[in-house]
Amino acid sequence: MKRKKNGVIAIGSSLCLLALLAGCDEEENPQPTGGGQGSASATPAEVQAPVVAGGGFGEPEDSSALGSPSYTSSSVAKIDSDGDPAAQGFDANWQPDTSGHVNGGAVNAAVYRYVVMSSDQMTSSGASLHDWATVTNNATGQTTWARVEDQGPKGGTGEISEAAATAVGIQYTSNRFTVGNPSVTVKVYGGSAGVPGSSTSPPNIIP
Amino acid sequence: MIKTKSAAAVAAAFLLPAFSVRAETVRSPDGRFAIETGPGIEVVDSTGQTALSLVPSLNGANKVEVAWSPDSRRVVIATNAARGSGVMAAWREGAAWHKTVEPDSESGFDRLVKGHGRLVAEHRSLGGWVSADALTVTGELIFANGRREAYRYTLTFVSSSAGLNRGGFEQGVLVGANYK
Repeated sequence: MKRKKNGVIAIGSSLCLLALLAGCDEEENPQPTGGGQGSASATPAEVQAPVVAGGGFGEPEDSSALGSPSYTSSSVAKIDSDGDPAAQGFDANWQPDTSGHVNGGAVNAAVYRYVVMSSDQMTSSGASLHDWATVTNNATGQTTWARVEDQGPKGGTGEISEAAATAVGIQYTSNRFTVGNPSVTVKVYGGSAGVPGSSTSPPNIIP
Repeated sequence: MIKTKSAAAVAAAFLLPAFSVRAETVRSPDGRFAIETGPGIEVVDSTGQTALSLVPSLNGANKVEVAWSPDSRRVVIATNAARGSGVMAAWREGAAWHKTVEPDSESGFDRLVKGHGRLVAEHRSLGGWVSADALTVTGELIFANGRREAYRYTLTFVSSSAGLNRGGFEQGVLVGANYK
């Protein structure tokens, strides 16, 4: 759920808060008693943030079937509002349609967590529309599952849907500019489009 | 084989135009091969057998352009989706077909984009062959601030390959230059 407040979209999902708390629970081991070195404790950077379920697409039922990522990029996040009818009139670059379709229509950026790739990025990495991906907020470690659902311009990186941004704690204004310059890492698992998602109402995707 | 006697006629023979198709078959000038589009893009021989599979999916492209070289040994394909384009190619050495893709990052393109803000969309269209191994490409850049910029460049096949990328395409074979 999103609520517009003073031009900033507030994060209403409790999933992000839970993800943060889960991360905090995995901090340092207690100080050992007696002499000698204690076991090394994980620094915050090494803590694995739990992957938040994929919203709309759910998450892959069997993530082990994805293999290793075939494409990875880290860059400043940009918001894609294509397919979200509520963004029309606010995002000057809004498009009613997306390259990928679900249930026979555009993939609504406000509902579905998706990432954008250029044609060369897909072709050169063996990725295609509907392949699974992860999006990680590099500042917080929050990570969500997503799918590749839109094709963007040559050289573009870091473009993610509104829903994906919200899932990893990235805020944006009504004209879909990010608040600050958050950095994200996108990993795409080429050839994984056929791995089903765990959504209770799975959208009709034709890989 | 094209037989001509005048220099002008020879020059004109290279300037074969590209044309747009959608889920169609585009034959090579000598008729021995064709590009078939939909659901993916393939090179097929005259019997319809697949000689080379380029991509299994059009990935949302709504326009595909195909340009065969006059000698039928090279073919360039441009795909355009709502906000982005891609250029790939195939060429034949003897009986073997190879495929390559034009990379996103080229110094000429990067110079065009630099300093204008975020690029939100771009499109490309194939022009005519200017030699046996080069053709012109025209494009349009659309930036977040509303600025639009038209450009053109020459796309050339070079003989060296830098190996295969993860998608199975040979790298370094297509080079864009003379951006303006």
